[in-house]
Amino acid sequence: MNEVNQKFRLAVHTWIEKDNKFLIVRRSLSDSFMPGVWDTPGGSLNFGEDPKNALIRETKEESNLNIEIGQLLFCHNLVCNNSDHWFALVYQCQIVGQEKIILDPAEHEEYRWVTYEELKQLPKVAFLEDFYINYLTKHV
Amino acid sequence: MFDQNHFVINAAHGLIKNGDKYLITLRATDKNYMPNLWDIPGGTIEFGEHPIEALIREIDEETKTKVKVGNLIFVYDFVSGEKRHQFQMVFTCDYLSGEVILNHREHQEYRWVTLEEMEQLPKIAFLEELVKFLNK
Repeated sequence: MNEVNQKFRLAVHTWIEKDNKFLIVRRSLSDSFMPGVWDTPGGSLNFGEDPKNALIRETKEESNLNIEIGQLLFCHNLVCNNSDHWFALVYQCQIVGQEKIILDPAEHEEYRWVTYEELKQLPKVAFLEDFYINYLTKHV
Repeated sequence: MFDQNHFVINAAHGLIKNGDKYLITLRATDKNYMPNLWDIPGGTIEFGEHPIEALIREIDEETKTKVKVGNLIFVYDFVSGEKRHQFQMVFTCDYLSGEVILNHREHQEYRWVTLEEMEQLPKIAFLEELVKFLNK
């Protein structure tokens, strides 16, 4: 049943609110995976890495922000090419210290603080679309 | 980087609530992993399976009860050996129907307990952590 090439993978994402707006980042236009599409800071876990430590690390690398992690909100489920089964965990986070966002241009084009309505209109990566439809619309 | 020799195992568990009580199950004495400790229903997610489908399947296999799955509230993870990283996701569930019928290869007993009662019982590692989290 279990084929050797089938792997489970974990990713973690932030959900950061400020004054009823949410922080999103636009993926680099030169990225091979979903270029130009909106995402939130986060990324995949290294082997054995604690999910919360991975989220702190990725957020710092991608946005320069230091965060404190709050409640776990959602798990997105995605199977790719019958070889990778991803679980993407979404955590409510707060910025701690100075709020100076610096993007890594290799990864992201721009960032925005958006309302729910604005988020609805924008093209989103799969986890964010799923989170919007199956969590945000039910909890706001 | 991600080493192809490493692997990740995921499990989904249900914190099944009925009134102010939660369903707990006592692991069978001949289990290799953590026998004779209190656990909550759930088990391994198969490749390609949605966590919530896996949870409903496992709850049915282990207890025969029907539940409504709510939110993901907690993730526990641990590394065992050099190659295996296990994640246990816990979802809240509302008990809907069905008398609890155990699979005795898996469990020897069940109880409906309050959070305070659960605190006093010997529990599997992730459930210890879940109870601490719920008490925060």
